[in-house]
Amino acid sequence: MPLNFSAAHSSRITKKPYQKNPSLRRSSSSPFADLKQKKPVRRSQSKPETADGDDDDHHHHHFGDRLEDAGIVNSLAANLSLRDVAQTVQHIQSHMFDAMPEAGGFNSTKIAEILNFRKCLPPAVTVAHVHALMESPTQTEREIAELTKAGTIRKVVTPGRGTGGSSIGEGLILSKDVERLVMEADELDEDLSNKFLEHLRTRPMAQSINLGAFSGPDVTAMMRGGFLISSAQYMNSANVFSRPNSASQGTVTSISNISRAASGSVAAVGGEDAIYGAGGRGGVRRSSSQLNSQAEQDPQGFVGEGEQLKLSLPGTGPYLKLLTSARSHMVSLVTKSKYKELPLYLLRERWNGGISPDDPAAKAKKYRGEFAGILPNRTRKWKQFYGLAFDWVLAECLGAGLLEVFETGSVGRAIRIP
Amino acid sequence: MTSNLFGRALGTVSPQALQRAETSRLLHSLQAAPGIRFDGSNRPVRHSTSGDGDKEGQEESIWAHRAGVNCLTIDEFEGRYMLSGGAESSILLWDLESVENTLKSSIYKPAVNASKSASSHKFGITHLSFYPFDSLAFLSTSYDHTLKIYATETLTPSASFDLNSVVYSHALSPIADHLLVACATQHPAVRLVDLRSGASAHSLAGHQGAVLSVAWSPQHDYILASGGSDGTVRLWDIRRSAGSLGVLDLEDSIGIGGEDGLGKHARPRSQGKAHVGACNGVVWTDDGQHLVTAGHDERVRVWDVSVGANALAHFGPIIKNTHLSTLLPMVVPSNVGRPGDQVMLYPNEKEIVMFDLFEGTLFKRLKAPGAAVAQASGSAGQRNIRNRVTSLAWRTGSIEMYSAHSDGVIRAWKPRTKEEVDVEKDETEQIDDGEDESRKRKRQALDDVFRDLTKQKITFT
Repeated sequence: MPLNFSAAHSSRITKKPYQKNPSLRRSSSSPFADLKQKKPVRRSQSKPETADGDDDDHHHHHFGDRLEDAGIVNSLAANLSLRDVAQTVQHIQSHMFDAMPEAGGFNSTKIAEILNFRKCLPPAVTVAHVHALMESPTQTEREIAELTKAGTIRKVVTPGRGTGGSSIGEGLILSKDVERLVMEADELDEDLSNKFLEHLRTRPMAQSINLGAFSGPDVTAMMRGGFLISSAQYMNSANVFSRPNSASQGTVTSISNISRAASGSVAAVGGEDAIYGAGGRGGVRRSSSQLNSQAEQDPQGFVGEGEQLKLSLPGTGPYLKLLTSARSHMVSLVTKSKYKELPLYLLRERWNGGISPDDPAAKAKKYRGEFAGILPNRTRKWKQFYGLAFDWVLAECLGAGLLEVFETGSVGRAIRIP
Repeated sequence: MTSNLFGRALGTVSPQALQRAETSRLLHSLQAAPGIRFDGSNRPVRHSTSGDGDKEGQEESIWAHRAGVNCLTIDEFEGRYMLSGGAESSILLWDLESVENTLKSSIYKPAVNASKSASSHKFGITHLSFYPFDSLAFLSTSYDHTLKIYATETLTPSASFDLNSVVYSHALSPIADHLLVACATQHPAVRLVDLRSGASAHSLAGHQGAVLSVAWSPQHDYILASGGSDGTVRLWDIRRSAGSLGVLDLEDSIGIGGEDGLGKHARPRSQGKAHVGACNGVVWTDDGQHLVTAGHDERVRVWDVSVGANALAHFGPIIKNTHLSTLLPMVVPSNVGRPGDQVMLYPNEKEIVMFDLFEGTLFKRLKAPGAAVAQASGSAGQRNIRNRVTSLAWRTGSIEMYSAHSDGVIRAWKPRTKEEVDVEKDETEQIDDGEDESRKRKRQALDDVFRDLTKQKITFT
């Protein structure tokens, strides 16, 4: 028995099978009690049942109808009164997580873990999310470009996270948050922090740093702090098949390196430590000593496939991982229903793990001391996603084009997979 | 509409304004016209086309090219002839005025049937375009590495150029004196083929991957734009020896003029990427001031060509683009619709999406009727392919659009305004009216009886 329940709970005769299978609950001990009564548990007012997709109660048979479509909802902007991009970014950041519930069944280590994780995430938002909450994506783009040029907002790009509309590599962060992160970082001493910030302020649109401005140990310190990432241009199929030597371009085994060595020598196959220098795999990385000598005639910018040092934020990795897993979970919740569509209130409940805190019946039961259902502690939302808010993940999926919101005349808004 | 006509009679509304209002209204009421079908098979014409029960079965089995239609083009002069190229290397010519063109069921047959000869294409056709000065000749490129010129009346090739690599697309300038055909091939250089001398005269080097799309400027006969699989969109001036004028960069919304117009903080012209991923569609607007490009990063970007800046139009997350072949968004001619507004139609997998070009607002989603996974049968047998829209063609002189699909069907899209819907409803009602009246009266009487019996009468005392 879990220790956080009172003695009253531990000594009582538990009705476990009845808790797990709500259909077996008996409302009275009459001879008609075990007739399958389709009493829907969580609805406050009776609604026509044709508007339902699946339901949690699997004895409640759904009529198998699709939801009526009264028109697609183009953006969630109507609900919010956000004036501009900076305000939107702040709104998104502040509404990312739900407040920890008081009687959620969390013990102190769990609470500490969740709060620490939340703190270590970078205060960045994805561009898709901003688009989802604002009226016109063109206006938003133009505003973002304006604010980026002015230096209020910074765009941080993580390459290699997909190229389509559902890619998550582009993030926006307010410049004052960047400054706060840089000053708070342990790995950067004060001089380096100031130098770095000055460098960022003078080049507001830059995605990578000018290597000549920083010394080797500085660069290492920044990489350790998470502010620089080295990335080779990712190998998508278009790149690999585009040229005969593209797979080895920029590596120690590329044509221009090999051709300088005498045939038959070790250098002709990449040198003594070809595999070691390439990071243990025959890959695209070059060792840092070769960074300055750009042997290929590729220009310094994007087009080349050599190694690049890009600007980034500490904690970006866990943030992106949380984002992708939340998105895919949300989409899987909608995919589970028969017609791949779900009313909004139902999807919200499912995201929250089936707990609806407003339900009067559940509240009354809790007050009486009978516990029905699962604690928030055990739900996926808190275990895996650290308490991500439903509206936040929904806006993310909308912005990425993974889900679509439409109006039904009867049950409010509904979600489907486009 | 009637108030506009009255205004024109009075002189308050100019004829041009009325024309634009009317064409804009028709443009925004474009819908699928499923009754118009193109039959490319050689079967005898079926006469029972008006039977309702047969319609669905017939719709499935009427196709233009069995293995899938790859490209479509309509001639610019009369808007009368349409050419379609199939994935099984056949080209068909359709006369759009041969059948009375209404919304009701009508089936087109090819005007000329091309016979397969040793000199015709061997693999699927990638791009077709009419000769820009008359419609007696057209150019076609195919996966068999060749560019061929055909005579329209007989559909036989007059000349053939072998380019030694897969040709994805080609373009011939609509205003030029020179007859240079720019070919987008898998080789990184854009090949210019001179039709006068019959030689592959010129190569423009600069791309670092396959070139997927080329387009000549409609205003200048020496400016060419090309997009490649490396994600860059290059602008070329063919009079210069070096050729490349520069590259478009998606991060750059100021342009190469820089902040003060004289180059302050301007980016270097030779660096930049237009798309994160391959760029497979490059289209100019009519005035030659803007370029519309589509890429594998599922974005369509609009560029201001005079400074080389990104006009930052965003079309939302519904755009999809997964195929490596050329996918050209279609910009509606600027004389249709309001002045200053441009409408773009984008072939988005199974549907066609209509956007405002500069603001990015979504006007319409035109869903193509048909299965999601279609069966296309070519010489290799039947295969299941994802049904997608491969190409769009606009009929000049009217407000009609035709779309080519990879399930082998060519579909027509016509305006269907509210008045037409009402007229159709009236027509069907008139036919059914006679029979239904007596039934309606009976039903009404029964309804009244039922209501009296079941409902409580409210009496006021």
